Parts: sequence; C-alpha cells; structure tokens
Amino acid sequence: MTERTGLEIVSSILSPVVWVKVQCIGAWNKYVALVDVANENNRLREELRRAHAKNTLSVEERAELDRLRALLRLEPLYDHPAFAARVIAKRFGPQAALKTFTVNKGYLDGAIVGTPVVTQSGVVGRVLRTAPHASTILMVTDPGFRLAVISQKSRTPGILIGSAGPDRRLEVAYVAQNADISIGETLITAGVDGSCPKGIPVGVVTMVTPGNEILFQQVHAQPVVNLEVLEEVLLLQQAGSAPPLLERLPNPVEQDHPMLPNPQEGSLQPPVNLPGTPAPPPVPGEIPQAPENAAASAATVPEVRASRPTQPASPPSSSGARPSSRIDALQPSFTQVPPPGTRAPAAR
Amino acid sequence: MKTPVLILWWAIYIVGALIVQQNLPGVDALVPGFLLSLQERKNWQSFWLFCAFVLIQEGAGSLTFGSAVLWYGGQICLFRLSQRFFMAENVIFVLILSAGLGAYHFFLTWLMCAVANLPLEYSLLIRESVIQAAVIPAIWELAYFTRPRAAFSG
Repeated sequence: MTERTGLEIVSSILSPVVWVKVQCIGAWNKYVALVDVANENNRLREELRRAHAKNTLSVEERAELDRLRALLRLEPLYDHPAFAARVIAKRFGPQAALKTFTVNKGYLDGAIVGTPVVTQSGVVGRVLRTAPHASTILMVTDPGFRLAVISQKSRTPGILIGSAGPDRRLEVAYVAQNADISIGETLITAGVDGSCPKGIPVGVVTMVTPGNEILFQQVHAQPVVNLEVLEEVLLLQQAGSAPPLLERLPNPVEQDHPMLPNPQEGSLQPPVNLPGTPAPPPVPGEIPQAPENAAASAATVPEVRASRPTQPASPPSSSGARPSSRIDALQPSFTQVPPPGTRAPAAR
Repeated sequence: MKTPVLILWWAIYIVGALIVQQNLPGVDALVPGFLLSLQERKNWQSFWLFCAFVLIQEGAGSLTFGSAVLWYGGQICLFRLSQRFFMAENVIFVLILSAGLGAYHFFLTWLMCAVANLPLEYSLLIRESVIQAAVIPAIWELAYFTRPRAAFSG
C-alpha cells in the first residue's frame, strides 16, 4: 500500500513533466531543427519502397501461414494485445538498487506483476511493481531477471539471466554441451512460462565457450534493445487462458456458409474438408480415409461432446471491429470473448 | 500568510527535487531539504517531511520496505552527532555531513542488498555515492538561499 502510494505520487508529479519535455522536444524537432530533413525524407522514401516490395512478397506467405495454422489448430505467436506506455524515470531514487525504470501505466490500465514489456526490437523486461497509474519495470539486464529462451536457428533452449557487470551482458544458462548454438544467433522467447509469447527477440549471442568442468556451455549475449535510450515501451497483456481445443475456431469458409455446422466444436478429430479448403496432408503411416460430411464427423464423437460444456460461438466477423483486411479476416482468434447469451450452432 | 508561502515553497522544492532525481539515477535530491528542515529545528515540519519523503522513495525504489526509513533515520542520527562538533548552519558542516551521507548511502544499499540476497554492481554504487555526496551541498545551497526568510525566524 505504501509503495503503491509513493509510486503513484511520483508518477503524478513526473508524468506532466515528461509530457512537457516531450512536447518541447517535439516542437523543436518539427519546427526548428530541420537540417537534413530533405535527405532523411529521400532515404525514408527509398526504405518505404523496399519495405513495400518485401511486404508484397510476404502477404501471400502470411495468408498461407494463417491457413495452415487454422488447419493444424496452432495458436498464433503474437496473440497478446499490447498497450503503449511512456518511460518517466530510470532507477528513480536512492532505493533503486535493481535495474529498473518507471512507466506511466499501472494496474488500472491493465499492467499486472509479471507482464512482459517489449519494444518493436524485442524484450525489455517485466513488470515488477504496480500502482494505479504507474509501474516499475525490471530490465532484462538485472541479475535477478530470468527468462526462458531458445536460439532462432538451432532451437537451443536455455535460461537467460541478467548480469551484474557494468557491460550490458546477458548470460544463457543450462545450454547443453552438444548444442549447436553459434555466435551471432538471435535468442527469442521460448513462450513456456505462459506470460511471455513465443518468438520475440531478446538478445544476440556474443560468446560461446564449452564448459570444461561443468555440464553446460557458457553462453553470453547482448540485448537487442538499447536500454539506455528507452522512451516508449509496449506492455503485453495476458491472452485468454482457455484451452484452444475447447474454443471454437472461426472458419473463413463458414463465414460464407453460416448454416454449416461447426465440426471442430468439442471434437478432437481433424477438421472436415469444406468446399474450397485444401485437403490436409496425409499423416505418414496412416491409411487415408474417404472424406466424411460434417454431420457424420460430429456423430462419431457424441461422448466427447456430451462430456464438455457447450462453448459459445464467436461473433460473426461483420459484428466485430477487427477484420480490416483479408489477412485479418483469415486470422483465427482463440481468445475472442463472445457476447453473452450466444451459443454455438448445434451439429446436425 | 507565512504558512501558505512555506507550503508552496516545499511543494516547489519537492517537484524540483523529483526532476533532479529523474535525471540523476540512484541519487536522492530530497535529502538536502530534509537537512534544511532539521537545521530550522521545526520538529513537526521535519516529521511531515520524513513521512512524505519515505513514502516517495519507498514507492519509487525497488528495495524492500524499510530502507528509506533507515536512510532518513540515519540522516537524523548523523545530523545530531555532527551538531555536537560543528555549527549546524555552517557550509563546512554541510560538506562533512554530505560526505558522511555519501558513505552511508553505500553502506545502506550494500546492507539491504545483502539482506535481500540481491547481486550488487559495486562500481555503479560507488559512483552514485560520490554523486550523492556532491549533490547534497549544491542543492542545499540553492534551497538555503531561496528559502523564505520567515522560515528561519520560526
């Protein structure tokens, strides 16, 4: 209580100060310091052109990925809603022995203890303490910070630990001796702790030394985010905790055929082919079976359906505000909360 | 008329000190104000400032509760001890007390981290302790000369 009150007082005093500072710097940069703006503008236009070209190529791959995820019922990697916060102080006061900083969003805004904090480059830290409108964030470089990571290429797992040294070094513990991890490899979040989603960059491996007398390799890394110049961060909220199998998968084809039954509801069977959807690849060693209709598929698992509570159907895409493009419309949402009172259509 | 001016002065001082703290990580800029209040020998004012400063530093810090109480409590003890040997309003007194508080900052942070089993970056702590010792006389000087004269008359 005392800590929350103190943090709230500090936030209420420093937030207007930071706001004024940002406005002054913004006004200076926008209206006064305009040297080299034309060169920068040309450079950014060129970057934008290249990004457009890259994006055009990746749109089709993205659509394919979404289709395959829907087919395999895989959760999307980034299914955590995020909200932005402004950094108002770093290691504030004489009691700031840990490597922390303070942001202007608290538990009334959705920040809870353990909430992952990221930037567009990667992981920054985790919420350590919250007040109504302010939070203290523990940085990845603090020696008390722990995070499960895997390397991006060799998929080597390990535990990332901050370092007490003056350099911005990170250590990766419990890396097996025979692991094929190499210098320059990016470390990403493993997503096994349930709070931090999988696949967010954390650091880059800078040193790999075989452990002579221990069972593990000594691996050092550098954070991908420059923690010295943090101004704004994103706080990732927790996604819905319901098991994906019990939630209803929105099928893009079904949106065109609203009267079709939902074969996936309460069923552990593979999804039934609907008109217009590609056939699932055959499982090695399994005899392919003739496709059945949805009603027959649903009838094969009555006991499963009876043992599970009926899940409410997700609202149709026309009522939601989300799908703004074809990709958004295709993307499955496992955590979408249906409006109260709606129920899934019964299987025929 | 005197009290609202003093309250306004303290409000401005606290906001200014928090801005200084924002730009000097790990340093306490509220301490010189508390020292000034002790020099004025106003016990009630010092009591309220003690409570407010402890609340602010405990909330903003990351150590377990009690370290800010020890920090400001230690300042009171150092002040009472030094007062026996020097004139409390003297600049030399402030300089010596600042050096003592810088050393106390190092000791207290080391102690609290050892108790809580937290790893400590000694080079950073030494640097911050030196800055703490240097910042106190500067802020105290500024606060002393901007303080309304009525405050010293009691």
